[in-house]
Amino acid sequence: MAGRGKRKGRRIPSHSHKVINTSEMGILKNLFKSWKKQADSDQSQVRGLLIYENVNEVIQAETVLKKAGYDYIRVVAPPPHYRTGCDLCLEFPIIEQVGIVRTLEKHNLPPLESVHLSEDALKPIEICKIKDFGNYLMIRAANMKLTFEKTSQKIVNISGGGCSDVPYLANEMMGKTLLEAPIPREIGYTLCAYSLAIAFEEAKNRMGGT
Amino acid sequence: MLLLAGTLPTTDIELHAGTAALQQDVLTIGDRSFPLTRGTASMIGAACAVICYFGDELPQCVVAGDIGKRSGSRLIYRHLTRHLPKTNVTVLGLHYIIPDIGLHNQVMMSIRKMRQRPCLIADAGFMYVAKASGQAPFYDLFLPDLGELAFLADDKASHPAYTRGFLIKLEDIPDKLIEHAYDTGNAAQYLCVKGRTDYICANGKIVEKIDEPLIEELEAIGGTGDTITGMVAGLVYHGFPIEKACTIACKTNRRAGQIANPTPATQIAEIITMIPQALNEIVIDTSDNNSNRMLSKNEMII
Repeated sequence: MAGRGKRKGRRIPSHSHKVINTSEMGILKNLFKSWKKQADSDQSQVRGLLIYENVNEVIQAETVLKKAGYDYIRVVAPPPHYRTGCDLCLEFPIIEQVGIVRTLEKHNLPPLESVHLSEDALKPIEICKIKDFGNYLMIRAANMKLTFEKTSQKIVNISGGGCSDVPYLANEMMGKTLLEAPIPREIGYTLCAYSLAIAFEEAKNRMGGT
Repeated sequence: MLLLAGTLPTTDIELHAGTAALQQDVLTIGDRSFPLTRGTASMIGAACAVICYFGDELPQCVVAGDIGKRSGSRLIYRHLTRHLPKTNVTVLGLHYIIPDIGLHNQVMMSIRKMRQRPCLIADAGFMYVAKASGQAPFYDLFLPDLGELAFLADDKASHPAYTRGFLIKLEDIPDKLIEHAYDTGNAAQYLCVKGRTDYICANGKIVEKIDEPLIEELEAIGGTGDTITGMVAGLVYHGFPIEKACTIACKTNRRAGQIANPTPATQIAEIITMIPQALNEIVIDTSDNNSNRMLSKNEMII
């Protein structure tokens, strides 16, 4: 049994390969390391999806996972047979499934289902367009627009969107400054809220991270 | 009958149906009052303004409180599914709702059971779900803004948030997006694209462009698209052909905005109260060129 265990003994320093004529073995070792690294990388690119009931749960799960150090997870569209028309899910490296699901369960956010991803999923838009009205700035992300007054940083209008929480979010956020307003990710439930959150974050960044 | 349906941003009501009326900046539906804010309320308010101008029968409405949790949206889908086959709705305006493809398809099945199919107008969440379900051509009119037009042009996106970047870049060339939307079967028969220039399209072709008066501030004001949708519904119900209704509504919206002299902080109720004056000017102007032949109620039913 001892012969099958890890053999004890001194390692040969890499510079000694030349001396003892085993440098080719060093090259092979490096090649093996490189191959292993490549294999690990490919494996980490095999992805899965965490499916949830609604967008709000996905946003909560994303926050929990990012705080736990899984900062490479992404929010994406679910596969067609899971779609209702307004939904998100989380894409993650399948190799990390156990740890990720355990973290979510600890925070009482277990996914409805975890599935293997067979093709590239669509990602929500994160690009913003800006329109300057002089005293006001309008930020647009996807179908959502947020306008605020530059000097007071007060949100004066929210327009666009089509999901039911848009008028609700407008009621909650308008008349408040960028600092005071509730964060759409925290009180919204839909993809429109997700887009509005991107516009809101851009507005804050433009005003120096208020 | 003109029927308008959509969610309202409240947790106070479940499903609520009744006749709508507009008094100043307060909207009443049946025995309840609602503030005239962006979304379904603005659509209904603008429709009421048009209906009152022409002295037509006030619209019937189905609304439900929903702040994004889906419960109100589900009640509306189910109400429409259950009751539409028994109604004599001639124009159906569908607005803010959480997209749910399965429930939407049940509503479509009910519409197919109606004795006479109504003119179907969809905006906001109902337009999203109509497109996502692959049934866009079944609708008579969609009213997207430019961002939503890019979504219609993207055959893979199930919501505007997923529109792919190469299509967003085409927003500066709306003609291309309109072509894509029709070519991929993701447009209704008519499109009314709301923006700096409004594009009215019929069966794949742009038939009218409206760009005056240009009131830049209107883009920032929540509800300025909803008012066009409501006015179009009222005008079609009155008997205008869809193309003409879109033209009048877009011009009236711009003129109402101009009269209100808005800033980006103006609220939509201020603009809705200007609709009767603006509509009067536009209708007189339009009737002068003698091109707005009304449709009879029978012609209107598709």
